Formats: sequence, C-alpha cells, structure tokens
Amino acid sequence: MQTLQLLISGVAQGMIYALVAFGYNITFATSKTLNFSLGNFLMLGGVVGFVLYMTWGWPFFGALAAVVLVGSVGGAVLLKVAVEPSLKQRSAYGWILATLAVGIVLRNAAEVFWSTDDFKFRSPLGDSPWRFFGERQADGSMSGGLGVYPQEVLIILVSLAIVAAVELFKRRTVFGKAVVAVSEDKDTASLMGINQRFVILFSFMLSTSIACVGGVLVAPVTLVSATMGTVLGVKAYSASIIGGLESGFGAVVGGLFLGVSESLTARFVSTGYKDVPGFVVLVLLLLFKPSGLFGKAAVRKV
Amino acid sequence: MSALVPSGKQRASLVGRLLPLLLVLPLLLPRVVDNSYYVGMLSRIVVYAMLVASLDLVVGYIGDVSIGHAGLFAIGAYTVAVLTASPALNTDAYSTIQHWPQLPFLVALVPAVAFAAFAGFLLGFPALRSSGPYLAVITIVYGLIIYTFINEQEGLTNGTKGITLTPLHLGGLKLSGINYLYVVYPMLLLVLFIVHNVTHSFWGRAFEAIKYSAVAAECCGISRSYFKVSAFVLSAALAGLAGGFFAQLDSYVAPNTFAYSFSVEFLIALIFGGVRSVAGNVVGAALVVVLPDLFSGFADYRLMVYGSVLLVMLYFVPEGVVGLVRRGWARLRPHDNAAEHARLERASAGLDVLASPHATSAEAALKLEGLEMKFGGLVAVRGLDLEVPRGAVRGLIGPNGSGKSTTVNVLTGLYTPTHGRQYSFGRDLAPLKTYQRARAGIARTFQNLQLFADLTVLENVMVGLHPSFRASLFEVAFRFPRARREEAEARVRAYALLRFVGLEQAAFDKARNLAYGQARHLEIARALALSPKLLLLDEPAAGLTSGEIQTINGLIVRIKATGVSILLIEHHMDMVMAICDDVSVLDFGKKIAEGTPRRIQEDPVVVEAYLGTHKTSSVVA
Amino acid sequence: MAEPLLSIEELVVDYGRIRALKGISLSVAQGELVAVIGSNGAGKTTMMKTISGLLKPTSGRVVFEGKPLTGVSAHQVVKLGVAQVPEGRRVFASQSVRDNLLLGAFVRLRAGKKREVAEDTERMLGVFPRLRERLDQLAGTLSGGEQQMLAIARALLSRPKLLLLDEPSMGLAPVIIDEVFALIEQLKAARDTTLLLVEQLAFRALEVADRAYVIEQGTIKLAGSAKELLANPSVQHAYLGAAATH
Repeated sequence: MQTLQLLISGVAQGMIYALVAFGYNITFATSKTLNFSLGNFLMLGGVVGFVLYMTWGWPFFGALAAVVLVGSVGGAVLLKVAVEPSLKQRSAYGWILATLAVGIVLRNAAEVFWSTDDFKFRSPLGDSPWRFFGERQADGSMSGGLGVYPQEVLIILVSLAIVAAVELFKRRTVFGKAVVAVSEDKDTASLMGINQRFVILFSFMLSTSIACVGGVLVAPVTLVSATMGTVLGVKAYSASIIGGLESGFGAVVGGLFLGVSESLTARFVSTGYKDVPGFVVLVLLLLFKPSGLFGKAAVRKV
Repeated sequence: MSALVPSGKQRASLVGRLLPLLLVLPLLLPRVVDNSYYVGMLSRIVVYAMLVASLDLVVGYIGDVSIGHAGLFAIGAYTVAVLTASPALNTDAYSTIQHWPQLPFLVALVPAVAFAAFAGFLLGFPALRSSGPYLAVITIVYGLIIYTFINEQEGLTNGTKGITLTPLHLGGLKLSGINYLYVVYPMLLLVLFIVHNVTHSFWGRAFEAIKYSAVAAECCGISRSYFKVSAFVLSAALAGLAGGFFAQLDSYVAPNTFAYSFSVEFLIALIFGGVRSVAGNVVGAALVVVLPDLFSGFADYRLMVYGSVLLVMLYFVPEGVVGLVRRGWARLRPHDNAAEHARLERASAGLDVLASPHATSAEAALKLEGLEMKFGGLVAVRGLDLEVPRGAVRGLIGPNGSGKSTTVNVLTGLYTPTHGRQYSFGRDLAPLKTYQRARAGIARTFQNLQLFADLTVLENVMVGLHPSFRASLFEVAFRFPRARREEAEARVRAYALLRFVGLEQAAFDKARNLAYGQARHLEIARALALSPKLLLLDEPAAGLTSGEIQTINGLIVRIKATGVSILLIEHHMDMVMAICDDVSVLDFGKKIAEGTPRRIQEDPVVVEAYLGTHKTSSVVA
Repeated sequence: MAEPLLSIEELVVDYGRIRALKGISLSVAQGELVAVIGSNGAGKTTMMKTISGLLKPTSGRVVFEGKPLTGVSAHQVVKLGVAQVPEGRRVFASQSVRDNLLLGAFVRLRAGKKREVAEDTERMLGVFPRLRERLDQLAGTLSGGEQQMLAIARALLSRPKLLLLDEPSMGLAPVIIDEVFALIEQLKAARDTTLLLVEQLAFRALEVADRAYVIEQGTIKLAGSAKELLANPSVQHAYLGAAATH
C-alpha cells in the first residue's frame, strides 16, 4: 500500500518533469536551442500563482489564467532578449549562456522582489488526502488504506491533458502541422507560406506557459520558493533527453521514469541520493544513444 | 599574440619593461597595507583566477560550455580538506569522519590534483560524443553528482557541517590569513605561466582547431580524441589545484559553496574578463570578489547583476573586458606588423618548402580497388577502381551527387568504406585513422572551406605543421628551449608556405577576414604544410573568378613540379582539362569513363551523364 | 509587347563570401516554360532561392507582375503567387502525404478556402494516382520519384501563377526522370501556370522549354529559343569546357 502511494507520488512528480521536458522539446524542435531558463519559468508560475491565489485571494482559475498570460509574455521576452540576439551572433553557443543568464536573473528577481522563504500553497482541491480501501470510522471518515492527495491526481490529469492537447493540435490542425513543418525544415516551410519567425515565437510562448502552469500544479505538493525551479529544470533535461528531444510522448516516458525512480530511491535508499538514478541514466544515454529512447538519430554529413 | 609574453622587438615596449615590476608588486602588499581584509580579498582573487584560467581551457579554447567546474574545484578542495584536517578542530559532537590521515598540505595537493584530473578524464568521454547543449547538460549533472556526493557522504566529508582545516604553518611562521598570499600568488603565476605557454603553442592551436573545425583538425594530423580529453584533464587538474588552495583560504570547506550557481558565476566571470586571455581570467576573478564588496547588501542582488552583466557582455562586448581594452589600445597605438614581416621574410629566404617528397616505393600514389561506400540503403560509390600514378595530376569529375566528395572523404578516413581496398604508395590505408593518414602524407582541401576562422592566416598554416612538432607537453608548458625552437622554426616555415601561395602579406590577418579567393589559397597552403606526398583537392576553384582560377592553375602546376601527386575534383572543366594528365568520370557512384581530357570531352557517355539524353540533335564531337 | 511575368535585373547575390550570382538578367513571359541550364555550382539554385525570398540579393531586382519581389520575405512570396519545388524535393518526411499536400495549400487554407482546396486536392490526386494510394503514408517512406511528384503537387496546390522547379531530375533514375519530364510537359500544355525550370541535364530541359538561358559561374553565357540552343555546340562547351588540347 505504501509502495502504491509512493508510486502515485512518483508519477505525479514525474508528470511535472514531463511538462518541463515537453517545454524543452517544443522550443528545441522549432529553434534548435535548449532553454536553460525553463525551470525558472516553472518557478515564476508557482510564485505568481501563489501571490495571486494565496496572498491576494484571487479565485483559482483567475490566478491560473493570469499565470498563463505571464508565462506567454515571458516567453516572448525571453526569445527577443536572449535567444534571437545570440542566434544572430557568431558564437555557436551564445544562446546557452543567454538563456542561463535569464534563468538566474528570474530566480534572483523572485528572491529580491518577492521573498527568499518557502511558502505553503494550498491546493484548490483541499490538502487532505482522499482515502481508499481503509477502515471506515464512526464519524464517516476513513483512515488507513491508500491515501492519495487530490493535487497529485490533478497534476497527473492536467499534465496529460496538456500534452495530449498539444500533440492533437500538432497532428490535427493546419497550424499545428505548420509548426511540425518548421521543426523539420524551416526554409521549405517558408516556401509553403508559413511564417517561421511567428512559429518560433509561438513555440516559445507555449513552452514557457506550460512550464508556468507546471509551477502552479506542483506548488501545493512541494513548497513555493524562489529556488524551486533550478534543480527541477536540470532534472527535466534528463527526462527530455531520455525521451528524445523531439518527442512529446518521449517526454512523458522520461518524466515518469525520473519521478518514479526518485520516489523509490528516496524511500529505499536515501533521500539525498534520490536524484542519482536519473542522472546516471542521462549520462549513459548521452554516451550511447544521444538521440534518446524515442528520438531520431541525426545523420551527420560532411 | 598576447601582450603578456612579448616577443623580440616588443621587449623594448613599455609594458614589457614594466611587467617584471608589476608581477612582484602584489607580494609587497601585505607589508605595505596592514589590512588583512583587503589582502584576504587579493588572495581570494588569486585562487579564483586559477579556477577561471582552468575553465578557459575548456570554454575558450576547446569551445565547450562547462557549467560543472564547481565539481572539479570541490574535488580538489575536499581531497585536501579530508587528507589534512585533524579531529582536534572538528570536535563537533556530530562529526562523523572516522579516519583522519592528517597529511601535510603539500602532500595532500598531489592526490587532490590527481583525483580532479581523473574526474576530468571521465568527463572527456561524454565530451567526445556530445557537444553544445547536450554536453552543457552533462557538465551540470556532473557538478550536481559531485555536490550530492559531498553533501551526503557524511562519513567521508562531514556532510553539511563542513570540515575545518588546520591553518598552515612553516616552521614557526603562520602561513594562513595575511601571509597566505605568499603561498598562492607564486602558484598563480606558475599556473598562468603554464596555461599561457600551452595555449600559445601547437597544443593551444590544436585545441582551437578542434573548436573551429574538428574535421579539418583531424586532416591536419590532430587526434581529436587525444587533444579534447587532454584539455579536459588539464583543465580539471588545474581546477583541482585551485580547489586545494581554496580549502586553506578560509581554512574551512562546506558543500554549499560548490553548488550549481557557483559554476554559473565562474562561467560569467570568464566571459566578463575575456576568454583566451590570462589577464582576462584575473579580471574575471576580480569581478566575482570585488563586486560583492563594493555594494553592501549586494549579496542579495548578486545573481541578478551577474545575469545582466552576462547578457550585456554577450551582446555588446563578447570579447570581454580585456578584449575591449586591447581594441582600444590598438586604436590608440596601431600595432605595426611590418617588423615581424621583415624578420620572417629574412628568415625564410630560400627556404624550400616543398622538397621533393621521397616516396618509399615506386608504387602509385593512390590505388583504389573495388571501393564501395553505402549509407544505409544508398550506395554513394560502387566498385570504384582508381589510380593516381606517382607525380601525376588526376582529375575526378562527374555531375552533382556522383560520389566525388564521398570518395575524398573515404580517402581521408572520415568514412569507412563498406567494401574495397585503398593503398597509397603500396601502404594499406584501411587501419589508419584520419589524423594518421594526414601524418602519413595525405593532405586535402575542402569543398566548403574549413578554415580556423579566428586564428591568423599564419596560425592556420601552423596547424598544418602540427605533426612536425616533437616537444612534449611538459617542455611546452615550461618553455623549454626545444619547444621554443620548434615554434620559431614553424613560424618561419609557415611564412615560407604562405609566400609559396602568395599570401604572405596577409599573414597576421584573421582567416575569417580573407577574401574568398585568398581563403582558398590558404587551405592549399595549410595542406602543403603537411609535406604531403598525395594532395587531394576538393573543388579548389569553387566560386572563384576566371582570373583567380588562372592563379590556382599556376599554383597547382608549381606544386606538381615538386613531385607531389594530386587528385583534383572539380566542376570547372576548363581547369580540369588544362592541368590534368588523366581524368576519371563518375556518375551515380560508378566510373563511366577514363582517359585524357580530350577523349573524355568527346565521349558520348560522359556527355549524356552531364547533359542528359537527347532525342533530336546529335552530340557535337 | 506584354510585360513579362517575372523579370530579373542585374541580380548580384553573395552566398557567404562567394559571389554566387554576378549580375544576371532574364525574363519569363506569361504561359512560357523557360529553362535555366548550367553545370553544378553555376548559381542556379542560388537564383531560385533569391526569387523565393530565402536569400537576399546584394544588388539588382526581381520583379513579379510589375511589382518588386526583392525584399519580400519568403512566406509572403507564396502569397503573391510564386511557388517553388525545391532542389532535392524537400518533402516533410515525418508527415503524411495528405499533410504535405495540405501544407502546400497553407496560404489558401488560412484564407478560408477549404472547399476549393479540397476540390483541387481531389483533382491533383487524379493526376497523381500513386499519391492517392499512399495518402496516409509518411512522406519520408516514398521513393525518390514519388517524392518528386508529391513536391510538385504540393507546390501546385497553392495555385501559383509562377512555378519554380529546381533541378527536378536530381538523384532520380533515368526512367523516373522520363516520368517527371512528361509531367512537366503536361503542365506546360495546360497553360495554367508559367514555369521556370532550372536543370543540370541540359538536353532534357531544352526539349521541354520554350526559351532557355545557359548560366556558368554566376553569369548568363547564352540565351535563346530552346531549339536554337539545342543545336548550339557552345552549350556542351559550357558544361565540359572548351576543347581540350591533350
């Protein structure tokens, strides 16, 4: 029973990794850059959501909508300020440093303009676990058995819904197919009349909004703080690369692997080392199959 | 070249004469300024500068972004801490370290550097397989793994409580605190001396060549695996050394110093000061130490400021503070290369750069038998028999996609053929890797230019001279006479090669600033630097004007006159027909015709391959 | 004399450090099939990319229907009625044949012309029955010839006034090349679209074209009616060089 609970928590955490990994994939597909600040966007979502929902008492959906808006604007700003200028430059990897820089500015800005403390974010569905298979008490409540936090269920459902929605959008709508076309061959996509700059902008805005929503989803389960995104962002790379940088489904698999392995390692080995299995798999993959489990191997031509 | 180590004529310059004085100055500081706070800051800058210099090797020279050097630094610091600390100072009831070796500081530095070097070696392998963002992620993970280990392995490292070290003593003299500067400053000078020497030698050029074009570097005889891993090992060793000295800076180490943000901060420091400059490394280290001190409460805004600094630097001052200063200085007192030109002219007068290559046998320069190259299902080259007799110029032509470049890539070892044999002067090429083939005397130029863009024209040719260097890394690091002599001779030889192709006036320009025609000549000069017996020219005339093509023709004829065998791939038929002894024609990967230029021009099969089949008019003979 | 549909004036295009086009001028009249032939590296694809807006010229102009095309970004050029079948076909390999065709009509779909696009697609599939068989297959799994057909159909679905064909024969077996050129003849006969064809295989191109230009090292060396050029030995020289001496 306890293992089942662990698994559910692991899956929930894993879906958050999957969301961020998905965000990495979206912008990598269209711009061939990896957004090193995406974890901090998750934090941005969590912090803005916290301020609106908990501190100012907005209704949850209002706060969520605002978070999505902030995320979109942030993504556009990131593209214009950090990514586009560095792509224009001579250096091959200037954008790594540029997105890294934006990430640490975001984190520090949160510390300075908001707080350096950790805060508890109340789940909109309540913080006490739903219980199953337990013993019914005299007052009608249940104790023992399987305890599942409603927020974890929310995380899993909403994350899957987001991934499914985006994938459906890519496969079923004309604009979605245009995005896929730009990912595959920018120039030929232009020849079809597709504005590649707009597609790239869209992909950045989508990616950061998703990360922000992820922040609001995960906040009730962990704690909201200015630093909540940094290590999470790094771990999400693992999920991304495990799943293959261009695959949406792969991001989910990668995320689940990471979340569950963390949960189990924390319980059965030690909490300090919970990150290690994910890291080890990442390094092994990058050594032997850099395109990930689901990605396409690139053909290198001289 | 760097302003730090002046050459010949420049010794008379102001900076040159002041330098020894400037270098000694910091050592006088503790005597003059009796303020342990500021001297402590200086010591900190010194130790950090070592770390920044080590990071520069990987980021500035090899060109890979590393965001995990905090881990290598930590290995050095913690090894020293664990090996030298005593239980007396770590009596905390919760201290969990079981065994206290209590070695002397200097002794402990050795394993510190060794472990860090080994960690760098391990990092070298992912670095060979991945690049760019993937590698950056690996370095982040690397740093985090080390950090996690240090944090968790309390039995070894005391975990979050940290380790307090015994302050350094020499005899009765206390070496910690204000006197620590006397320990670390000479060390810094040594480290910067080594880094400067290595990076301004054929080693440094090899690192940069790999960064600009790994393929071209291999074709100049540089083993990418060897040099890339070496760079990581050297960088890690220096980072570990810096860490070892860091441990005694405050005589205390704790895990939270070596977190991810530490790596990011130092990366920023490097970019700020300026990559590929030891002076820049020091400036960058100073930024990280001085800035928090200037503004109280700065610590809160630290990362925001650094992040913004990085963005500003990336867009407006990518060459860093030192680069900016150099640019300004160059504008005030433009550097005159005339003296150096004249010196090289004199030294290279009469130098015969292409002494007739002695072939060890009378065999053909190149012999291909039944060569086949398949890429998945696509057969790019099939059943190719080709021969280049010794001293001849053979043309290889064919319509687009006929397999010509594939053949050259197979010949230089970039692809392994699926079938067939390759011989050069009787020697089987199959077991030779790309860089070994270059060393065996097979040189090439590239259809799409593969120059080392930000190296000077002279340095580009010197990369071609790489296999001629015999000095060991140790000799290079400490500027032994043999290393200095080889470098000087190589410069002269490279200049002579430039003169051979007519580029000597541009010797000190950056390769990226060359006009297109000149760039093509440079690739040829670089290839000739290998003293090749067989020269493979892959579309050397692509994009050239007719006048430039005439010049290249003349050049190839002169090269041929020295006895070098040449395989020429070209589309400019006038050129091929004029200078080739024999021509082979490929179409769809197969040889469809072979013979003298005239015979080829008149061969209907060739005409059909190029112009297509024809229903109405007849082929003109 | 009617205004040409497309006119290129003294076009100079630099590709990195190379001057790929050194000042070329040509024109295409409505309903014509004009061929630009030349050996590899002569500048043909550079010219096509510049017309379509993927490259910016250093100087000179491209004029379409009397209005300047230079400076118009690539995705706008399609809206104006110029579509290209790129060199190497460049189908979207990870997407189905159906989706590839859909993307060809992207501009029209965004303008709301769903029904017309559907009708056109039906008609196109009638002309390319093999594509109908493979409608749901991934474009990357098609053979070279089928991909070429797909790329042409895709371009035609934008109902272009001018269709640019960049080296349709590249990488295809001779039998398939026959099919492709038969198709090009069909398109020409229909007189719906004006065609600008760039080809390495000079004779093939000259057999279908009305007029042609021979381009060599970035400049136009010969021009004339296709019939004239077919009989002109200089064409062969442009490819295989002036008569060799040995």
